[in-house]
Amino acid sequence: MSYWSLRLDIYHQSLRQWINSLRQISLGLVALFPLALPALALIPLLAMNVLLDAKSENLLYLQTLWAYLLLCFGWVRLQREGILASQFSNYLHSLPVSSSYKKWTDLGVMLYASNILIGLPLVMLLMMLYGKSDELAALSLSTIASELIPAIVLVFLSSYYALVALYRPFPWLSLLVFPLLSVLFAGHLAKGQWLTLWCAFLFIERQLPAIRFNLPDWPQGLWRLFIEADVQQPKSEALRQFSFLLLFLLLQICFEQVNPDVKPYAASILSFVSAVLMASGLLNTQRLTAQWQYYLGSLPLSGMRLQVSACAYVLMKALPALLLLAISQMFLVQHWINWILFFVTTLMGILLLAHRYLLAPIVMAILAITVSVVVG
Amino acid sequence: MATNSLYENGQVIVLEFDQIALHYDARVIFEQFSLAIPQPRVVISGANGTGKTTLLMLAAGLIAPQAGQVTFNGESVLSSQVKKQIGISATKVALPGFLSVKALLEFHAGQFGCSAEHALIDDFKLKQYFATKVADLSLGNYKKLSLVTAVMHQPQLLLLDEPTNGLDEQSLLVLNSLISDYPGQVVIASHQSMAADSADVRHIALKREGVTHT
Repeated sequence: MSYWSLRLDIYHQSLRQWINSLRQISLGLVALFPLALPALALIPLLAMNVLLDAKSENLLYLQTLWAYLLLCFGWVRLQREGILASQFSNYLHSLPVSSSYKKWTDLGVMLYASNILIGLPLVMLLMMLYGKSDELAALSLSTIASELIPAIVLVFLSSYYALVALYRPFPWLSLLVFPLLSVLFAGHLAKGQWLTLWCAFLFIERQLPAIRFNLPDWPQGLWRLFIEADVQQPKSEALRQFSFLLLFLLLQICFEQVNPDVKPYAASILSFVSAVLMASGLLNTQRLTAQWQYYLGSLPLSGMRLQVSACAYVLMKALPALLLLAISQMFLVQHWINWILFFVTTLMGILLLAHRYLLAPIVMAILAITVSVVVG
Repeated sequence: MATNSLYENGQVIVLEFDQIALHYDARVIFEQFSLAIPQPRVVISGANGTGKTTLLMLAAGLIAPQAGQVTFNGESVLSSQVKKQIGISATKVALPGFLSVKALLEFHAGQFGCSAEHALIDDFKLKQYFATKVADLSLGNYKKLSLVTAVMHQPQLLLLDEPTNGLDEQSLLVLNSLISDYPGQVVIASHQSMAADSADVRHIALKREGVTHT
């Protein structure tokens, strides 16, 4: 077996473990959409329409680009251990393989893992170059640039964030702060100017020292325990927040393109999925209390206090998502009421029905639809 | 059998198992098991699988029996108030490995409303590991930390499962001194001879067919 085959086998094994752990965690999104993975493959295809069109509106373009790059970064980040074979790093370092070959293998496995997300923009760019090869000589440089820059930037940024996902800390400045600002002030600059600024922020970010996140002394008690657990094992919480952000961005893109009559329905879907997704954070704390059940059982804590603290902690973690929903103004009053109902029923479902917890919000959704039909 | 007993407000402090039944699937661990322990020092011995650790877990209220009840001073050990009077150190009671030693001690002290400072931390030389994750501690240091968490709130009932495992000679001396001088009741499940192994100690030998007193 070659080194490359071994690395691919390790990656496949890690992918199987990851998918199994997702099933065990029963994250709201995964449980809600058994067809989520095939749908994931469609997202890049849909995004290409907007991202490769030099005439697409600034706001739509920037939102789509942000969602695409988040997807690209998150997809690779979630598979990082498998791509880099971190679990077997000591053994792999003991092999007589040159460091450059190891680096190329890392890159190869990363391209294999990210496949369509990086491959598709690259193929599209090559197709554009090939298709316009006759015209290129006749066109001015500025025309060529305006036609090809979106595709070139997309290939560059998606490759860059895939590499950052493997080797560097979370790019909070260029993948959170800057895109948020660009979406808020999309109309103030031209598309090319925004992309130049984006690249400038990449450069600035690379010069900044890595931020060391130290927890302050507050809060203490059970919340401290929950926070420390999330900080030490951030994967499932990061996946939940990432899924929300992606869903939010995609639905917001839809929001701007659909008929105003359809918007309340899109908001209802977002209300249901985001509430279930955020409330499913309780599964983390349930797993934590199950893992350390004897230690927690030895403390003078009632089961009720433990559960109430866990639910309050889950609500606290949902606050950034709620803030984003509030800023977006996508929800009407009825959506906020539904969100609260879905959130509470999901919590109740997790506490009372364990793995069949989705039944509770689904029943609530059916009731909400029935009431809205009857009332009006 | 030892004759001396612990007293509080004129009442004998008693750990009592009353008609306990505990099964794991088809395997019977305890059936109509009754035992009263008023003695201040008790050593429970027995071959592997006779239920030594399970008995301590029942005494700490960490496992609920399928029938009968376990009481300490007449109150069920399952009550969260009674748990303030109980401390347990056992491998099965895994400490949250993702916390640092300091964070765990502070959390634990906060839950029991006691100080996170304890002489045993210095005696066991644990301060140098305050920044270390609990999961990264060696077996010996993990055992020391587990003993500190069991003792730091000065419980009336101290339950120690194989407390000498992994401890070096210096730490064994500290442990023996702790057990000898401890003001409350100490129940130890161990196969090793230790300071508590003296004439004043009640020995309980667990066998597959039941309990034997020595």
